[in-house]
Amino acid sequence: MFRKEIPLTITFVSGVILVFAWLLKVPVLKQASAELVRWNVVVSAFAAGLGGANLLRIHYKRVNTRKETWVYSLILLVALVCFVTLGISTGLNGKTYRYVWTNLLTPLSATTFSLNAFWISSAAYRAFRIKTGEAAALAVAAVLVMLGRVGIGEIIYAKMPAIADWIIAVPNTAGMRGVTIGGALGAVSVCFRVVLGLERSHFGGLGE
Amino acid sequence: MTIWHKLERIDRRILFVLVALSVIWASIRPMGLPLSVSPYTQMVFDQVEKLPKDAIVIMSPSYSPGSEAELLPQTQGVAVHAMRKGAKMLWVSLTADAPMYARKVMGLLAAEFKYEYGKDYIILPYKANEEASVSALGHDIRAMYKEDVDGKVLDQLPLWSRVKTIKDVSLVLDFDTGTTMLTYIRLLGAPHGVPISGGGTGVQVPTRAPYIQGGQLQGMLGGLRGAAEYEKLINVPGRALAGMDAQSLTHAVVIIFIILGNLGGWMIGKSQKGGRR
Repeated sequence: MFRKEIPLTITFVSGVILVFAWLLKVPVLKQASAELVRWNVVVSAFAAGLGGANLLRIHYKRVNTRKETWVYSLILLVALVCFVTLGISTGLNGKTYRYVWTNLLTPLSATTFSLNAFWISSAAYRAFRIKTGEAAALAVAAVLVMLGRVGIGEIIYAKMPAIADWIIAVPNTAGMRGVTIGGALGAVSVCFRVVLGLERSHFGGLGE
Repeated sequence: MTIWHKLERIDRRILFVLVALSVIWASIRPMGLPLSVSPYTQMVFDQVEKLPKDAIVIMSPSYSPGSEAELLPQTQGVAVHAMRKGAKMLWVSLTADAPMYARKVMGLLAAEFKYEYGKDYIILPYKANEEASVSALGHDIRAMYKEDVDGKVLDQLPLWSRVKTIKDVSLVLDFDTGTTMLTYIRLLGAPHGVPISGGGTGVQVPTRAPYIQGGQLQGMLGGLRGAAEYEKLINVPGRALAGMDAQSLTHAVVIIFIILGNLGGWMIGKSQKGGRR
């Protein structure tokens, strides 16, 4: 009961309060809803802590059992412990913490992200092969948008940026609207199922 | 193996080298290629331009070092413009790295614009869960924050006394790589009527276009190009404008390779058809 019914009841009551506070202008409901939203921030902070603890547990186990790629887990553990210790001991504005952030984390992340330029270039070369009508439309649109977003495109044809803007604003938006509306309808139905207790996959095996 | 087969299967390492060379070349010898301003960038500029003096804006740098190259120049450009207009800034942190970026930008600009901490800008602490945090901002911003990023009591800061509800905020400027801009639209823009604008990476522009056309998002800077366009609009050439030539050359290399790959494929297909006949 403590692991299933109580969480289900809390979810139902919270969901009902939030939905009705949105729909009705009842001060008590509005106040309760604001309070629940604040609690959510606190619960999320705990969830972040729980996530960190879980990360430690999983990777410690990997290192301990010498599973494949355990060395990476060890690097992760050392980096995590060092960075958290540094952050707590010197504060987020501490000189050493900022030094590590600026001179280690920033260049490493930027380098990893920059590799995208190479992978995307290689992927574009292999993927944009015109074998069907649809593939031709995709390749032509991609080339026009790529040209329209850079200066060379403007040198080739002055209206290239306008063409790229049109592709993004008209055909792309039409498609994106469909995706967004479909996604939103799906999200609403999942929310209702969670509030009513019909969707229980977030309990793991317990809800079965 | 014919020349067409070679074109169809060019070693990816050749492409990698050419991409690297084009970036290095453009960085060493800038070409000053033309740059027009897109309508979405112009919309962001217009939103900041029409801010009344002393208006309060939320600046939200929701990114991490990986996308700093694109988004930091955007944040800086928009911050310069907002400070020229005399806007007061609340730096909201929806990602753990956000306070660092707030400090970085204000560290670069505060002295130039004579901005004082507490009077002209405040850096608010990081709160986990963007969904819950933005919702709480809309419900009761004063209950959400009691202290600033350094633990100073907010009630002691003069700017905070002007912030009673989210309605006191004239504009939200979010720079993100994920979903924070959409969260602002859903939880601040739609229910409270606060205008939302800002920037993101280049690949996010197509996903945000419906919100711009629907009037829920007041323009958006897209990637390095968006930042470069903004630098051009405010007449402060910076990192983004310098990087546009490199991006231009890289795009050209990729397009040439796409054409070569297709040419190889077509010619092979043509010769195979001819052989069957």
